Amino acid sequence: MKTLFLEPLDVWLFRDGRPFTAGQQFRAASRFPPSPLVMQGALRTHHLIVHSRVPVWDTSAVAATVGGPDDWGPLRLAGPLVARRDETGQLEVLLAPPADATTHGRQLQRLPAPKEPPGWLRMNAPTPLLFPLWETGEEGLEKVSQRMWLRLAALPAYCQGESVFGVRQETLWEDEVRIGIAQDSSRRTTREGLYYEARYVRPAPGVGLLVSFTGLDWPEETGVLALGGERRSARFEELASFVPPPIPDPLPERFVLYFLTPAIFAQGWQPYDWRTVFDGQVELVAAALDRYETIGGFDIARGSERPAQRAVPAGSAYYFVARGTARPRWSSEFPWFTVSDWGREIGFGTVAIGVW
Amino acid sequence: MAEACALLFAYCETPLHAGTGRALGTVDLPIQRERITGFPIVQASSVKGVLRATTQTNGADAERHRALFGPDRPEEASSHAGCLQVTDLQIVLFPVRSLSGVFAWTTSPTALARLGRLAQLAGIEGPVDPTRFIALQPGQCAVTSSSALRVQAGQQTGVVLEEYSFTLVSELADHVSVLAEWLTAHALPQSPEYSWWRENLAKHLCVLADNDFRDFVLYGTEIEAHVRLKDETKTVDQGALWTTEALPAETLLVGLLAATRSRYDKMNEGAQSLLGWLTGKLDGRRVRLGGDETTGRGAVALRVARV
Repeated sequence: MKTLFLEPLDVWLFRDGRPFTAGQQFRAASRFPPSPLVMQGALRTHHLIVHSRVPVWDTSAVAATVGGPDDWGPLRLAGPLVARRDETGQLEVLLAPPADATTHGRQLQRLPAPKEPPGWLRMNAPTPLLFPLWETGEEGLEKVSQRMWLRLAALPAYCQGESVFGVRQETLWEDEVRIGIAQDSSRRTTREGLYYEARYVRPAPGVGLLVSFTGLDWPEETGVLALGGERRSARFEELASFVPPPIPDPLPERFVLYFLTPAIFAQGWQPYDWRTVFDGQVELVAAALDRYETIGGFDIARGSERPAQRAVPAGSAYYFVARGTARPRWSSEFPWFTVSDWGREIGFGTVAIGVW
Repeated sequence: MAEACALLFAYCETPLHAGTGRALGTVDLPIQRERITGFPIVQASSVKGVLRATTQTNGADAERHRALFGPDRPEEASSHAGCLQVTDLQIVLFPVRSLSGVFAWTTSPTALARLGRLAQLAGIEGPVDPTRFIALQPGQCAVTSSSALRVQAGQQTGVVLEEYSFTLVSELADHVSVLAEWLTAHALPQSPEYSWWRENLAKHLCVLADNDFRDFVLYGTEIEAHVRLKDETKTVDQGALWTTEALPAETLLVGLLAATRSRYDKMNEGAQSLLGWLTGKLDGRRVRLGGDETTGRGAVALRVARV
């Protein structure tokens, strides 16, 4: 496995999927962090162009090297995750604001552990009755009002209900709005109607993206690759000693799944069957998740847009109880665990597991 | 590595107005700045457009040009991407009025750290370890031992920039000399008319603490007032007064050029060869960046440094 830390050389642009045409819809916005699809595209393109001698206009040769438009080829990916260097140069990985968090100043704390609802409670939801994650009667308890990211190293303490320091999102990156025009180079004047505005992302110094992968022969330890819209530059650096957060095997009796990247499920917010994810008897008892996000993008091989899919956002938390011995169902030797009905090979549904 | 990288330096010979098109502050037409540091930049889209227009050519070179920049015609844009990556131009040296020596080329550890990072990506050694200057406190500066900026006041020697005085940290003088040598060799144009600049860079170079440098690049730019006159009366037209900000002449900017091999099926050429061709077209050339070029703004001399 190779793990890279990518830092921008200036700004990044990861389109949010809304149509953008200079002259009609003139505002383009960026999302951050990008979806795993963006990272998969950037890595495979860099590998194809820099590490191979395959003519890029030879479709079959390209497919033999990095896979075709319908498969992921040999690449197995986890991330991208937001990470930053602290004052000592150490890298810390950050978890998107947990959906089950409350804030007290800069402190993050998990909502009280879910409890079995009273027997008289009946609901018309089309799913089995889940435990409520919200407990009334406690004063000053509210869900997060500002985006606070959780240090992955603090996840075990957080899962135990301890109060931990969060990282405010505005300290990680800022929007940088830029105005663009198209110029008529023969007249050196602005072309009529071609005015646009784009909102880029400017990560703070030391903030970048972390991605782990296997399946590509990647000889360099440092370098530059093109990432996202406008072929903006990312400086990458290999992290030789990086170890992913451990996945307990067997699973503890009460465990919680935190999504580090978006996940796409057959039944909207959950897979068709959790038995595809775990071996043994496992019961979902509670869940906390924010509004869905839309994953789309452009399929360069076909020259057309990908169908948009709704995804469970990063930061979502799923609480489970294991009956007897249960284990995560690993699909490869890759040390990251991914849970998603679509795209788990390229990093959708990268999870960390905690004990509650 | 993106196969081939080079540093692109732009030395401003006249004030440079790379505008944002919108204003929230007191200046009507401010220049482009980074959101987080407030440092001036020239956005990559402007730079790439100018490089593309400057190197436009005919014949066999037209295919090479297309491989680097992508197709010219918008309707062909999706056929293949250009193989050149251009970054924003970032500040390296910012000229500030000096009591002695006329003006100083100021810089800071952050600006040098960025330059060093880009140089490393381009495979060029140097310029100087920016942590050497980390100890600089606000109100302190580092210059060479033969600096023209030094001002003697009684027993004390210092530097006065605009109306602010700075105390010298003399033990850093040698590092400033090394930095000046590197900039002279790699960043300044090598043509004969730049010999004065190459000889005098060391005498006018001044490293400041980050906060002081930021204050100068935020508040030391040129602000020009413009009016529009009524033809008949030769008086100012109602409401036709506006101000424009510009980076002063003698500013030095840097960006990175990164290339991969061609994606254009009629030009099967490697990154080193394509970047070499582009370097030959750009190195030492004068171009116009930013707006107001018909009133003399934005004349810059380019220097491409690569291994």
